Amino acid sequence: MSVQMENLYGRKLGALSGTILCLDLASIGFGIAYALHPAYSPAWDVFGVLLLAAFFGNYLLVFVSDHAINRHTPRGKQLNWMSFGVLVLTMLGLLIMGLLAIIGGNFNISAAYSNAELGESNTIVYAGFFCILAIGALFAFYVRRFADSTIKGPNDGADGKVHDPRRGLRLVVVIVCGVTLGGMGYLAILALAGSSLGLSALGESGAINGLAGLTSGMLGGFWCFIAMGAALFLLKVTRRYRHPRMSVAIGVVGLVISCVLFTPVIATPASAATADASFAAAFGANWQDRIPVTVASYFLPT
Amino acid sequence: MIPGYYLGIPPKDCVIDSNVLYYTGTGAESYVKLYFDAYLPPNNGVGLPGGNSTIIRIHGGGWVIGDKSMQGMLQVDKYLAAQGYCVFDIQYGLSNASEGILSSLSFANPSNVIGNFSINDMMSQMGVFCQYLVAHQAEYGANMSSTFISGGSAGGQLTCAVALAIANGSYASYFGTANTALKIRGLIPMYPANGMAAFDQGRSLPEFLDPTLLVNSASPPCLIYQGMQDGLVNPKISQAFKDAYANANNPACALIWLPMAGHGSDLYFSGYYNTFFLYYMERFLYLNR
Repeated sequence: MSVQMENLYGRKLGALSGTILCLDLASIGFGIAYALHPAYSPAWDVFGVLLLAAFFGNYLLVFVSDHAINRHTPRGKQLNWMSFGVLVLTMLGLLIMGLLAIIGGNFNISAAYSNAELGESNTIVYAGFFCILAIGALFAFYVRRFADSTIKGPNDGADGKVHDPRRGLRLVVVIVCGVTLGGMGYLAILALAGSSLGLSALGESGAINGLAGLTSGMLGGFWCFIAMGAALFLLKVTRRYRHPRMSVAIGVVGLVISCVLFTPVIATPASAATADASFAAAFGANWQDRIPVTVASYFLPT
Repeated sequence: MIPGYYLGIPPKDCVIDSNVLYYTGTGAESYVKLYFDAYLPPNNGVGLPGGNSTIIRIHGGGWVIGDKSMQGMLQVDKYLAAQGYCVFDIQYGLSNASEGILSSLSFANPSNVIGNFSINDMMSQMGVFCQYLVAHQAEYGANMSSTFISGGSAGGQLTCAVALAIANGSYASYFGTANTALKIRGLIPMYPANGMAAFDQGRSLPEFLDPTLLVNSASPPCLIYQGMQDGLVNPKISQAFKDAYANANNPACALIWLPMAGHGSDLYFSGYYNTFFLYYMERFLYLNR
């Protein structure tokens, strides 16, 4: 790779990380505004797009930097460790935001009698959210700052596969990430074919599928990022073994599972036309005209 | 709304009266005590769209597990109360029969609700609750002439059975004074487990076990929630319930399908499934109240 090409890649990486830094910072700003005034506003639709872009962007930067940065330099090594931090904190942040009802999160907010007792749960949710964006912003900042000096040169090969000083740790990580990705794959199958695996068809195992299916589609917006994080983690820790087919397989499987789990986020609002038609057939085509504007202001917006 | 999905939607404010006793068992079941939670509109509902209409909410759990005000139901209760509805989220007697893997989750059940109950028994207990409500309606400011019933899974089956039995008017032995005092304006079953109560072993009326048999041309309006990939309640059951309305020449039934949704997919209040259905539910309530 010539010096010009190195500079070109450095500039591209700098531009990507700059964009993602902006997305993270904008999402943090919107997050603070949402915490202060959560009542519906069209601004929150913009915020929704930004935060999804920030979550995806952080992962994209981890993926790109993993290929572009020379991990044999001290700075490259630091960025590599930081990228692991992005993955770990994103997955943990999502877990505590929505999934672990026992320690807090959105489930507890739904299940508390007194609104005055929600401080702890809200703290957990927002801590998870800001943690994801803060580590993403920090990583993007450092990649942008050191892009030129850490970009891979022509003689900077991949990690050698002969000497692996952290083989035990690597094995543990591979197992944990593999199990996580497998679990997400199971949830993706349930989201695609849950009713076909149901109670009456398969007895007790069907009941297990049915119970697991409680969360498959409902929490797909959380699961998809966890699946993607686990796949990226696997890609990073297995890359030193230089098995291109294995890397491609992990990437494809991770991407497919993530896409399936993310589908309900898009498919649900997309089914509004069908639901509207069913509602109108049952309760009259003019049902919207029978709801005064003053009353509609109490309801959820379209 | 994506931010709400990840960061939550703050619960609305309302007046809550929790753990009100409405039923005490007799004889060997004197330990059975059933309670309800009342979620009442702020400022007595003045100026709010709900007009103090009554909503009775029945939890799910395969007739063997669960409790009043479970998970996302509680926030829905608050949400509807804040719109001017008087919401009552109730306990009912749970069966001590073994229902496979569901029964293994029964450790979380309140001990005061467990017994050798059939669907008929549960219907009787709900009849007692309805009569209690009629007797105390002034206390809660609840409008009994505009009553809705809603619940999920096993609670969805009981929703269908109670609402259609009262609307039918032929079950005074179960509902007493409520049989005439309550006017059912609508029912909102979510993934109703109609005809799935195997534990009952035929002890109950067939039309209570499968409320599809109660549907007729005068049945109250109905709004059904059904996940397309529900692995516990076959989506065909909801379709059959809607078809029963159509076969009875009663068009007032809408079935809302939720794509890729499993069982109980409304339990996450700020989730896309629950908010999507809530959009239709609150409009259904207003149009039929």
